[in-house]
Amino acid sequence: MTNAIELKGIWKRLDSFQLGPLDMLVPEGSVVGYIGENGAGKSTTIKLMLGLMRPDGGTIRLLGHDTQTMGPKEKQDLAFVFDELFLPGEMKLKQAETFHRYLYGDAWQTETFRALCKRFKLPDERAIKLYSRGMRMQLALALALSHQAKLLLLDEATSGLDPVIRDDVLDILLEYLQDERHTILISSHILSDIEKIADYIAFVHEGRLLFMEAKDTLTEKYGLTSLSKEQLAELDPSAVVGKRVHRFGADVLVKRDLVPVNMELEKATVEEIMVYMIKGSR
Amino acid sequence: MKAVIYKEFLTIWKQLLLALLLLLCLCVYTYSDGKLAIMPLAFVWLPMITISAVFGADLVSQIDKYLAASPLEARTIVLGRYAFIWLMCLPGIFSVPAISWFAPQQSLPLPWYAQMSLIMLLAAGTSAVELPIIYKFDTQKASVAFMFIYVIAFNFLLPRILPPMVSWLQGQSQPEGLPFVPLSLAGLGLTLVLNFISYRLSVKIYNKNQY
Repeated sequence: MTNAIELKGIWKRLDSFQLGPLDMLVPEGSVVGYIGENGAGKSTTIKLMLGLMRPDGGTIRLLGHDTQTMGPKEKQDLAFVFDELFLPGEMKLKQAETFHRYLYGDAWQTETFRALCKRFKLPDERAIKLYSRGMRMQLALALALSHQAKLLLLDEATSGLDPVIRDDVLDILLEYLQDERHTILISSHILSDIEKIADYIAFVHEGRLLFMEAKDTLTEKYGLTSLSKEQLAELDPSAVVGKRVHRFGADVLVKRDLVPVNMELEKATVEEIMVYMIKGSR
Repeated sequence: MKAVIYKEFLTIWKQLLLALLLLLCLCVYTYSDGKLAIMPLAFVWLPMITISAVFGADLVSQIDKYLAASPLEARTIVLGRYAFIWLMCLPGIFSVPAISWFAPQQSLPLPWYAQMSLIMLLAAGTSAVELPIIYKFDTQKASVAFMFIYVIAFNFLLPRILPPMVSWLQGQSQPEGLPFVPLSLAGLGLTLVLNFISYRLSVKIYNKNQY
């Protein structure tokens, strides 16, 4: 299976923060939910992939091409949606379409774009600066999905959107994935969205990739339980990933294979795994 | 490159229209005052206004982040801007033959190609100096620097240089000794060389940007 994204030893220093060294392989045709707390390095990783930043070391290959030497033809296969739409506010829908037609040339699909705009009910005659945040994100997605891109990178694209629009966006992404050659990497704080769509979860914390695992494997790997202080003391410390201590004991996230088989464990959501891992490291 | 030029027009067409309207009014006024000859100099402001406007618009929209991730290479993005600025130099350059044709009595006593070469040098040459500076530094810092340069140039240097030159020219019949053709070609050549160096410098600066 080919990899849509290959990060090898990628690192970047920014003031007092360092991202990496990071290694990540994303198989073609998959969806990776890229999660982490604020300032963990999610946006920096995506910016490095798209060439908005240059890494201090390591290599990045997208769809088999080194990003340092990628030409315009190869870059047409990449699509992106940032947390804001960085287009001139004076642009209207038709002008945005014309601009992107010039940008993407033969790869641009006018019918796809118009169909998406119609589906999202985007107004024709209103300048982008007068769009709501939800409309701007819908437009960004329509633009990203209208040039036959094979890899879609979304950086906090659903933040600040209402549940209805987020649901629309997720539906569109699932349709995009009907083509097995299409790959998505989506960073988001809204972990319920990630759980709905992702095949893999990659968790970055303080610039380090703590894990990248299949979503189903994660829920099989970890479990949540409530223990008394005595039970907690008896537990193998290496089984404890993180805990929330309270008056009567602790809620603990554990590794299933390191705890007694008869211990009752609840399924942990991705959000719980993330929160307990972060709090466990503090 | 079409995308960049299209974007520039889209973002500043209102400012351009206003500038052109003002220049047109100035044309009418100077024509009625018998001083149409200086109008090409006024058109030299058009690319300068354009440069401020486009960089200002880009600062607001942060479109460079979008373009950096797009299939456009840095040299194409910069070339698009240079091409747009050159388009803005054209009204000034072609105002010279227009004046020579429609109001020859108000034209400067210089061959039209010499005047065109001079206007090209002033308009495109000044832009060639401005552009890498703005790419390198913050638009606001560059604007402050240019303001001082223009105040000194237009309030102190040009008023001291131009009137004696114009008086001398008006007092001469076309002097056969002055090599206007080679001078005009030299002006054109200097403009092209300045712009080429400026473009290469701007691409180098733009390539180093990180967002």
